[in-house]
Amino acid sequence: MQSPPSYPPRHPPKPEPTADTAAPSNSSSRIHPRRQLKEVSAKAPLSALTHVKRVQRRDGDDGSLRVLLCECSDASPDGGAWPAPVRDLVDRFALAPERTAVPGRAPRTREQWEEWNALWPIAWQKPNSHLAVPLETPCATDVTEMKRWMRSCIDVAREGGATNAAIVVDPSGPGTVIARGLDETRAWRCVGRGNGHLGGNGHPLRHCALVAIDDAARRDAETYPAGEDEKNGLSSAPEPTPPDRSEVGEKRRRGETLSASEMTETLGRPYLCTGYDAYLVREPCVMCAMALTHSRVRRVIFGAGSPGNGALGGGKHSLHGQRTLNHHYQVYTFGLSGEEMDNLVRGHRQTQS
Amino acid sequence: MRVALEEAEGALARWEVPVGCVVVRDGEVVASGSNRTNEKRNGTRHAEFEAVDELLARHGGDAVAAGFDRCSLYVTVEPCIMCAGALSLLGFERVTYGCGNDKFGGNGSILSIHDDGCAPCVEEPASSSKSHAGSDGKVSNDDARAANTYPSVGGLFAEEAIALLQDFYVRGNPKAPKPHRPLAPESAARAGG
Ligand SMILES: [Zn+2]
Ligand SMILES: [Zn+2]
Repeated sequence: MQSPPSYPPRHPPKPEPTADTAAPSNSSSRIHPRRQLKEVSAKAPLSALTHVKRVQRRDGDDGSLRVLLCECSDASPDGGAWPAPVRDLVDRFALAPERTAVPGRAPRTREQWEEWNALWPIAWQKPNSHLAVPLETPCATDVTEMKRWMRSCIDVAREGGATNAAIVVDPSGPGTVIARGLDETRAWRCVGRGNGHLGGNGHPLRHCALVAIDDAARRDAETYPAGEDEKNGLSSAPEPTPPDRSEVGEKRRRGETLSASEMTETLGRPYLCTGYDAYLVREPCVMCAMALTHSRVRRVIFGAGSPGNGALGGGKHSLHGQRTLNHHYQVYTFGLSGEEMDNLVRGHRQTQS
Repeated sequence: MRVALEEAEGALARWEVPVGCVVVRDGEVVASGSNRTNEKRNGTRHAEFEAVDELLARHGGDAVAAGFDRCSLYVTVEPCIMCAGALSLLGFERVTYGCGNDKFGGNGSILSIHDDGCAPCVEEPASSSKSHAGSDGKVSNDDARAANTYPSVGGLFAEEAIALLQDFYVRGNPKAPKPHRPLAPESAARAGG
């Protein structure tokens, strides 16, 4: 004798992230002995939902588990037409099925993963480290903006006679360039241990991203001068804690990136590059990619990938997919080849001179 | 490493995440540094960058004269992924660290940049010059990356390094919305062996 299915379905607490998905709802149910899970998986596989875990441990009560039985589309609303294996399980273990919402597809970013995972546990999949094209799909207005800023970034490289450049953009309102950076390594090629040339007048670590980050820090210090306590290195101001119910508090709890203005409101000044977007002519190396993580940028957009040395999918590493990091930005690329980018940077230079 | 720990204590006194390092060349301490990310409002001003810039400044900005390929680094916490890349780019001879960094560690905890190497993020050379240095002395990024690996050892004075981090996290970082350099102290203890 099983209890009747409980309806209506429960809606996800935050439906936005699943709004553009098929977001199938699923019947789920209490189940007790864990060895029976194997049987569930074998008899009623969820072929369309391989990205979610089958079982959710319930917080706060006796530690009982909820198990996904099947997609709702496979069962009629009155619960009378489950697939035979599901019907059988429900009967045998006197389950109390109910509807629940789960993420309809696998998350593509760490942020999505964190948000959707709260709905139902998701198996984390490492991003494909050899994706050549947009790791995110921007909307049309975003693309227009990205093209505009990428052009500015290429202009910075061209005007500075460098092969790589970076700009940091505050995307709010009409958008503002916060900082610029040209590669300042110049002829430097460190091959180490005496088997090559060590040389050049440049600074070996002044890659364009680091130069731009320095520029942003300088601007921050000029725009928001340090108070007396900061000058004395004695700041004991407590970390500002936004009210829990404010949008800011919500976002922080969910691990979302705040916009620059939200951060400025909260802290009284920007926190590093929070909410800003970084544009680079070429995919950053691992040092620069991690520097952008430390700087808390919202997005990284680059023109050309760097096979071999790129750290955002073009080479061996996809730094933005590293779970342990405390901040994750979204990554977009125009997917140009190095040669195409060379032509863009140099071509402009030739037509101008 | 004791000098590096003193540097880290200095950072703690300035309300910075307490990480310190020294650069040793030919058996002599030639530079030292500690974390100044809050002070400089710049998340890249880790101890390693501070020490490297001090050494460069002592040589008038001449990286050749600084002789990074004869330098060893002693740092209280495993270099993060960014710093591990920087040490590779500079061609450091070797790196010794105190406790592990199980969130950002670039010398084995999260990534192994000391084994993978890092190369400048400028243009990729034409494929014809991929395997060898061309007549202009340039080498490909792949070659540079492969050449710039360095040996790395951890665990020296790990307890002392962890104790400093614990002091810091008990107090909290007044400037950061969330702790932003390494790790929870208890996990440092695990990684620090
Ligand atoms: Zn770089
Ligand atoms: Zn670092």
